Amino acid sequence: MQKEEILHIFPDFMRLTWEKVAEQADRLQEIRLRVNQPVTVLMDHTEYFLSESGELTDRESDARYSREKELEAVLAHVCRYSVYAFADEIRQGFMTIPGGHRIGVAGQVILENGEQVRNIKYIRYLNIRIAHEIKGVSEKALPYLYREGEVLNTLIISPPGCGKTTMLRDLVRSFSEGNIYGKGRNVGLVDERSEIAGSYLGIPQNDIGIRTDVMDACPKREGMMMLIRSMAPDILAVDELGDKEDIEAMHRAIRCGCRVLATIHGFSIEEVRAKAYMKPVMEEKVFDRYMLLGKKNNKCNIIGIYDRERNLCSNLQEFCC
Amino acid sequence: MFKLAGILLLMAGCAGLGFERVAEEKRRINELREMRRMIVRMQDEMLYGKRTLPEICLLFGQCMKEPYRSAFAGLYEKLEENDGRDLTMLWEEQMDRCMKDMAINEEEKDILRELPKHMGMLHETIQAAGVGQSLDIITGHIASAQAEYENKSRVIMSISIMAGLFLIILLL
Repeated sequence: MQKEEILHIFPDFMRLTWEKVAEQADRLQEIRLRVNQPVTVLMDHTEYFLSESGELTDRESDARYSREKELEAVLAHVCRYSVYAFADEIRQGFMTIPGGHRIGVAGQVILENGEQVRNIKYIRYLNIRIAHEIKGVSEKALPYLYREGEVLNTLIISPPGCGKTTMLRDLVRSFSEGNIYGKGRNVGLVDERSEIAGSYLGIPQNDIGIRTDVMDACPKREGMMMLIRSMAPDILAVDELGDKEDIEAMHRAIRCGCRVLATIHGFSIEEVRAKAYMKPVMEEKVFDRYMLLGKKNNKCNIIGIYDRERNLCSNLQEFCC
Repeated sequence: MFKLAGILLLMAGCAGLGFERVAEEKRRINELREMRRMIVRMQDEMLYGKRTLPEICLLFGQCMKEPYRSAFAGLYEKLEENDGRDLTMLWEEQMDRCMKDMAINEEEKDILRELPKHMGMLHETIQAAGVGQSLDIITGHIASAQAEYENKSRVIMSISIMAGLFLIILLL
């Protein structure tokens, strides 16, 4: 990742402070800005404070504090002076910027009819999560995701921050371009949060393969059906299945003859199975493979790949760090 | 013979000055109309296309008439450079260049110059309404400019021809 990509998140007057951190862009995971609180940076799974001189320190007394004006300037800058265009994203609590980096926001919520979130004002907390495109991260898993040259329906299960999206992106690229286990396939990607392809003005900023069609910023349910109707994909890829409607849409896609590659939040297969909307899917054995991600020795890795009966089908040693 | 040529040239010169003044008034009305069209289009793009400001600049840089076309294309380039300079500064720089030779007056130029001050709203409807605040002002200016044009054009032409005749009599 380029140093400039990190610096471009910040307006001009803040760039000098972030210069040294940006030089280590490849190790950078998270930047947290909270009003009147020290700026924290997560790098290599370790939290640091940012000092006034732009150095990383573990002493809170040396930390630089975020000011209200700075937060507003960062927000205006990342929204490209068009906060209105990000209203839907802000309502969900995050937005995606070019490069696929995700910015989580928190502030005072404006409710509609006393229930639904209409918007967030006084945004005073920003969590900048740096996306890392790691090509080849899925290579070791590929032999288990094909059968006789055909891609198997696969569900990637992972806790937050363990590389679910990175893995999905690399699998999409690999399935799309083809590899020694199978030829290249047309992949339809529903990129609801613009995180996978990281599209900007409709053009993917990340490598997602030569045969991938992207339905960007589209709800999963609508996006899956639209892609099936319009682009006839061999494989449909979606990030973060979250409710019954997503599952229904996925079912329809499978009935239409598509293979599905999806991700879901979870620490284990059992935990995912316990979700009400996932139980029928697991019992019907819709997925041929479950790929479980997690942390090993403080590093994100594949914990195991399981078959439809939820039996371990990979040699765990293979994925060891 | 020379006298006749002089009379004709003097008349033509005075009438030309009158025409020029009338044409400038007409140009001002057209420029105000174009400005209003542009702001309405900007509102639509915000409201229905949910385009960000740089995206609108890119679009306008392709489909607007000159001098707006170059101004928006330039602004898009500057925003894409992402050198950290603030929008208000870049906008003013480009719009000043674009409006340099326009017939509209300073007050009218300020409407466009100050457009970024209305940015930053949380919702597209509010944002479009914010940008649209200037529409009423422009519409008012167009109406008064139109009325002035109709009233003044004949007066200007008459005065310029009368001035020509006066000069001819004076010089004879």
